[in-house]
Order: sequence, then structure tokens, then C-alpha cells
Amino acid sequence: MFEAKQICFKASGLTLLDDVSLQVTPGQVTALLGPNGAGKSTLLSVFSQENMPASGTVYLNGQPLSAYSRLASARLRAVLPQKSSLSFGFRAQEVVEMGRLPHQGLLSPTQERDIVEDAMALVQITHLRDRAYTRLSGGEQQRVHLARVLCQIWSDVGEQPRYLLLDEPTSALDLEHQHHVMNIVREFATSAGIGVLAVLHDLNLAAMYADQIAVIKAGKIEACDEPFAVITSDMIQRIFHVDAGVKENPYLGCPLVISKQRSDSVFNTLQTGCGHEK
Amino acid sequence: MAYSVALAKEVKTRGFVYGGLLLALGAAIVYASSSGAVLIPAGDILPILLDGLGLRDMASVDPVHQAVLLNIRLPRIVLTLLVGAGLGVSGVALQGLFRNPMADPALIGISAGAALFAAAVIVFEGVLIGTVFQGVLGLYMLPVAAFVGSFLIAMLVLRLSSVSGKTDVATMLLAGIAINAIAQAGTGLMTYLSDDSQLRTLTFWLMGSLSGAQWEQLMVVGPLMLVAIIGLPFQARALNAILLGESVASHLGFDLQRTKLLLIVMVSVCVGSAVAVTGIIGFIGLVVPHMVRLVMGPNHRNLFPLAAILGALVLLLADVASRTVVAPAELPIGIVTALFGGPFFLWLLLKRKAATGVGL
Repeated sequence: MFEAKQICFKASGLTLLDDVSLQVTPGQVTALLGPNGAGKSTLLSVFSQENMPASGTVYLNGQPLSAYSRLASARLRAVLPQKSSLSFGFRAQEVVEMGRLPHQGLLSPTQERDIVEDAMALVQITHLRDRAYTRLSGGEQQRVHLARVLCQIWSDVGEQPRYLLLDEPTSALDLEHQHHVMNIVREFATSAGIGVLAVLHDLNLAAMYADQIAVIKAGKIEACDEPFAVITSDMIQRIFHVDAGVKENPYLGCPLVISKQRSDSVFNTLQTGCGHEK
Repeated sequence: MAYSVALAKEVKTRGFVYGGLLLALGAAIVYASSSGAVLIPAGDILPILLDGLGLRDMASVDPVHQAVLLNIRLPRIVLTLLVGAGLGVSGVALQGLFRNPMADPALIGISAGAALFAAAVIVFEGVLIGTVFQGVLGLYMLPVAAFVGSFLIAMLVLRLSSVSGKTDVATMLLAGIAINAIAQAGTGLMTYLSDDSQLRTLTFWLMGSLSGAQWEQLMVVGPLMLVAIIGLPFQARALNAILLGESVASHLGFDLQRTKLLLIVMVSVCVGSAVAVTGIIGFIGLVVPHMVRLVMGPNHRNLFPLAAILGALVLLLADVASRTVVAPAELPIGIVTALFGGPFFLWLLLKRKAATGVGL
């Protein structure tokens, strides 16, 4: 279990997280939804130890995060940032291999190489391996980083559950790759028992792939439950100020959000209009 | 097997590059030993060395040649190699740390800071002699002062140019300009305060010169520079990770505060020691890592050792040029490196402009 308990976080006088508790369960995908500036990325940064909470504790497999060395926690959890800036021309494969840095010297070179190969194959970037990272498209770069973070938690470390934190992993991707990435993440979670926490903007994507959905607004968790309990017409109105209905997806059986009104950016799905006020 | 073709190619290229550079370096060392006002035949170099080290008694050795080689040329060559390698690896470390290929110890003011503090020590030597300061530090006084100067400037530039964990290139370069101006004004003040003999020392030293090399001086700064030249490559992995972003590096388990401090201390020790002996030699730290990157890519695992070798080679060639072109007079080495480094920097800017549409 990767668990935040009663987290408060303040920055320049503003309370960004107010008594937030959230559990990430091994083998499950937890989606974190909320309007822009609600505190999603901040909460993720508390999980990833980038920000120290003013009060409250994050527990990683039962131990407070502060009890781990940086290296020890890096072997148990990987973080995919929203944007990566790399202006040096590494080959794509070199970037993926960097995911193995916390594990230096633990496995044989053959094992290390296999992990990198498998991760690249899973994310379908094997054909890009020798290309300069700087010459890849935004979507390709994002997939290279996904392979990198998968590598980081690929191998078992003393039978402890491992975790993956994703900050808007699909924002730079086209429709096919959005689903491809979410599928990989989901399968990776169930097959390897990885706990995933993903910040998402697309309610339907979250409904399709998440086991648990948490909604955050103004630094507070407003709801946290299985998709059908969270994705409701009422919640969408209350949190996102969008008039929408929720049906059952006839093909997948998950909730399906359908807009009731047209606006410039919202058609059938609420992909990008979440944070917009009308 | 579907394994990376580029990797196999890289391994092969790596062999060629290391082999070629080491061979070139060896040849340059021989050439630098033999050429100059007194021509020493290349074939005599080994016997002179063997005789000098007391390993074998060589009757055929010309005592004048021996004196020139052992007391003048050899210390100069060793110093040149150390300074060249040191500036090369320092450039690599700074560019990694700032996540920017434009960083260079001289460009961002680190060398000027070292020079200011060193100049202060030269001018106020009379005041300092006999004090506890001088008593404790002795011969180390100048390098230590230069280290303090470069360390303070490096920390200042890092602080000034970071905006919420990211380095802003324009700010970094502008901060460098401002700091260079301030440090130069300070150094100018020192020359104003100096007497005639100090002024001569200062002026020549400020332009950069390898001619003052002596063994006893090398015994002091040599080990300091070696610590950095050998120590910095151990940070290669951390620097690779830092290129992905500081937060990514910390997600990968690196203690960034510690790594950054370690890098800055080592770079400052290296640049400080170099400046204390040779004055400011610019552009080696900028040009050399670039040349290596063009051939071998940005991975620090290759970048550090190759930048050390190429830095040593380039500076040695520049030094040979500086003392043979206008022989028997000598051009200050700083002028030689700036003459070919300056245009290179401009070419770099043009290339970036063509690639990205913006200058920086």
C-alpha cells in the first residue's frame, strides 16, 4: 500500500492540500481527477517526495517515506512527469536505460538488457531505439519516458509491492496511443501487482481504465470510490460545472459521460473542457 | 539478433576515438618536448628522461638539452595537460549541471572570480606575509583563494539562473556577463593598487600563460586538479539523470543537493587551481565537450574521459602554437584559445539559431 494520510501542504501562504488522505493499492489503477489547479499534481509531488507536506505522512508499504533512502524509494516507485525537457541528443534507448539507474549492480548485464528490451517492446518503441530523442515527436518522447519508468519498477525488489505515479500520461498522445498507454499501464498493474496513481483529465478514459477514482477540488478529496460511485451527473456538475449525463457503456460496462450541452470545446466527450467555465 | 545496431557501432567508434586521441596526444607530447628555441631531437627525449630519473646513465645526453627538457619543457607540458584536461571535464560538469551546452567556466564568470581572489592575494601578499593565513596555507594560498573565488561565483550563478528548479540560459549568460564585469573591475582595482613588479606579474598572468610552470608549483596544484579530473567522471550517471530534469534525477534516487555541491566544489577546485597558476584560459571548457558530443553523443560516461584527453590535446597544441608562432617571443595562451574558441562559439549560436529559430 502507498498511502497518504492527512496531508496538508502550503505554498506561499496558500493551502494547496487540506487534510488529504489517499490510498494506492497494489494491482489497481487509481485515477486522480479534478479541475485545473485543484492540487492533483501537488498531491502527486507529495507522493513522489518532491514536496514535503506541512503535516501528515506518506506511507510506502507500511513505512513512512522518510524512513527510506532516496535510492530505496526509487527502486519501489517510478514517476512519469507531465513534461520532460531534454535538450541533449541521447538515443531513445539510452533514455529508457536510465530507468535502470537505481538498480545499478543488482542484476547481471544480460538481465538488465532484457528488461530494457521488454519494456521497449511493450510500449512499442523498439523501432525508435537508435533515433535521437530530440528528433522524436512529442507523443514518441512521452512513450520513451513511459518505457523508462516501467523499467524502473520492472524487477522485483525483495517481494515488496511497487508503484507507478503518472502525471497526465496521455496529454501529448493521439487517441490510439492514449488507449495504448492506458492499456499498458492497466495490464502492467494487474500482471505485476503494481499500484498505479494516474492524474487524468479525461473522465471517460478514467472510467474505462481505473479501478478507483479520486476527485480532488480546491485541495480537498471530494470523492474516492469505484467508477460508478464517483462518475455521476451530480459530481460533474458540482466539480467541473458541466451539464452532463452518465450512462453505462454498452460495450464495456463502465460509466460513459455524455455532454448535455454544446460548447466550443466539448462535444460528446469531456476531454478538454473540464476546467473551462462557461 | 535485434539488438541495437547503433550500440555496436558506438562500441567500434569508441575504440577508434579513444585510440586516435591517445595516439595524437602522445605525438603532441613528443612534438612539444622537442620543439622550441632549443631543438631537442625526438630520439633524445627518452634517453634524457631515463637519465633524469636516474634509471640509466646516458653518457650521450646533452646537458643543455637535459636542463631545458626537465626544468622548462616538461613541467610546462605536465601543467598544460592537467589544465587542459581539468578545463575539459569542468566544462562537461558545468554543462551537465546547468543542463545547457553553453556553460563554460570562463563564460559564466567562474574563472574571473578565481582571478579576482588570486589577484587580491598577489597584491596584498605583503600584508598577508607573516599572518596566520599565510602561515597555515603557505604555497596553497593562491590556489585556495582562487578556489574560494570560483566556488562563490559558481554558487551565485547557479542561484541566479535557476527559476523554480530550471536553469534559464539567457539569465545564466547574462549573469555571467555581469559577474565577469564586476570581477574584472575588481581585478582592475587590484592592478591599480599594485606596484610595478606586481603589475607585471598580474598583467601577464591575467592574459593566461603556461610559461610559469615549475615543478614545486605543480606539486601543489597538480594533485588538486587530479582529484577533480578523476573524481568528476564518477558523477557521470548522476549528470545523465540531471539532463532529464532535476525532479527526474531525484525520482531516480539521486541526492541532488549533495550531487550539485560535490560537482561545484570539484569544478571550483579544478578551475581555481588552474587559474592560480595560468590565469584565465577561456573556451577550452566550451569547445572541447562540444567536439566530443558531436562524435560520441551526450552520454557522460564517454564525455568525461574523452573531454579530459581532448582538452589536454587541444591546450597542448595551442601552447605549442603560442610559443612557436612568434618565437622567440610568446603569445599569451588565453589569446590563442580565444582566437579559435570565439568563432566556434559564434558558429554554435548560428547552428542553434538555424535549428530552433532562436539564438539561445
